[in-house]
Amino acid sequence: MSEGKQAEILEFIRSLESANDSIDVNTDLISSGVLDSLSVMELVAFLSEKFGVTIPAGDVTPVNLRTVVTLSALVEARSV
Amino acid sequence: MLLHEVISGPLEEWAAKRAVIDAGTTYSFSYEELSCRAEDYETAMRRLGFLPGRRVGFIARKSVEMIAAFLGALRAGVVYVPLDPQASYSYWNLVLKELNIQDVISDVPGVSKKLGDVRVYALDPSVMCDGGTTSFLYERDDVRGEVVSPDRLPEDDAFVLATSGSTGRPKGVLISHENALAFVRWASEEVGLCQDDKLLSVAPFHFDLSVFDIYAGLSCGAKVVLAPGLATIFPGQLISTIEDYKISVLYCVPTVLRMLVKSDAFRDGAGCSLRTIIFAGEPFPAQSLRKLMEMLQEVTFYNFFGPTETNVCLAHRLIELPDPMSEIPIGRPASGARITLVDESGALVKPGGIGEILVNGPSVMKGYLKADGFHQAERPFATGDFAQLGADGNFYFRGRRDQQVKVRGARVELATVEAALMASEGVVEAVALVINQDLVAFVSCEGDMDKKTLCQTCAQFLPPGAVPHKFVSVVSLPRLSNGKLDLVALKALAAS
Repeated sequence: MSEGKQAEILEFIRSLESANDSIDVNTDLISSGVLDSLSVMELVAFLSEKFGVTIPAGDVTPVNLRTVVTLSALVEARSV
Repeated sequence: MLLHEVISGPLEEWAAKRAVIDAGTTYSFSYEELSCRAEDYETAMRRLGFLPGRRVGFIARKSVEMIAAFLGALRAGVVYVPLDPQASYSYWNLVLKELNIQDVISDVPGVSKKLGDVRVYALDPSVMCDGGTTSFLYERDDVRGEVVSPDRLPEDDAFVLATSGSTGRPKGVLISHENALAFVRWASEEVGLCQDDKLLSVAPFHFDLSVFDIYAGLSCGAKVVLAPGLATIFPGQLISTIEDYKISVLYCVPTVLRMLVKSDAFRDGAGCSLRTIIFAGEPFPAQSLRKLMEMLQEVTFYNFFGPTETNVCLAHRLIELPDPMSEIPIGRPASGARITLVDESGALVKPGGIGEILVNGPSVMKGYLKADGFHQAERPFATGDFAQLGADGNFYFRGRRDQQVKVRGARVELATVEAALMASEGVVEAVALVINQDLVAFVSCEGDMDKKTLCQTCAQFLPPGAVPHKFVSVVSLPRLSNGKLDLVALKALAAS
């Protein structure tokens, strides 16, 4: 289940303009410069729509959005 | 009065109060500690032989230490030049060379090896940049009270902010003590800052919004809180900083505020400590601003307007919720400025007409610093921005004379971006445009477009904020029959 989510999130991240194909589930999306102010919001909108979860602003932090693995964990936590 | 003297006023009363706090590291200085630390920097600079008027670059992340060093520089008569700490070495070298700066204070590891002949000093004595770097401060007890301050005048240079020139080369905007003070005094009074206020400093120090955070904040005995580095990208981090430090005054670009609106960050009473929000740097769409104002009904909102060269020369206080389809005015003269609108021939426009904004007043910069030296600013200063005076007595923004645009609130010269693109190997033609808040580059190449190389070349010549977000490969740039670029076709290409 979680691996399926990771794959879908990874696919979306790779489609971002600032990304490239070498990104994997453990790539640091912040230090690698993949995420900026607009792509963070795009990513949150994608997660909400794709997985039907509500992600409150307080969850949109560097810790939660650092890698595909942490993103997937965030979605899991909010899916309950 | 001099700029750094704003904090020496009622110091006895504030001495033990926290003056500056770094929310990321929780390092802080009280007003007394900040004043002592600034004195240490002043003495250290004197001992190094930095004479009044000498320019010193800063390449460092935002910190309370850096504020102390700025104040120390001002006390010593040294002119500080903060550079974007996220830019590339080649960009730093370009700016240092153009502005003829030989000394840099930095906390970037290894920086001294890559800045040629420039002398590099470590900002924080506990951070050793590398073997080649001189630690900046001496032992504190060793240095205090040995140096007498020289006579300094309000018209002396205080600091320089680098901007991209339209010719593709960076230039420096030289601000005097009295220039900065004209804005600081006006803004403190307009906003009604007091010692109970807690300001959140979101803008980087090389951006002129920080002049308000640092000097208006400290002049009133307020607490200045430095936002963590990633707060402008992550609404969760920004809102938690506002909550944790009970921030009352926030000054930032609309891009950051729109992010908070979009993520619904103010739900359930979050951010209730805020009393004033000021935005500047780019237009705020009324619809989005209205949503923000509805979320924060107790908050007073201001739109500040003005290029780095004049600081804030027009300002508008929002009295009621704006109509979603309306336009937010840039308001009325600020910082003691006199505003006139002129046509191409330099004649005053008729009432209600559109004209270029000319600014005369105490906040207008001394002049530009370029590779060939100092160029005194013409007065009145022609901003290159067009405006119209509305029937309501407010000015309204009406675009630019040239190719200068705003990207996420930061100013970018499209010609500079295009020059950087053309410098990349194999590029035949290139044009840069802002489309839906993104800076988009259209490039026609001899072979296949190599996005990575283009990105790298841009980063070499441009600050990070001017590197395009999107690169679109075209066979040739679409043009209309008159030879002008076909903007509609380009926008369609960007969307596909």
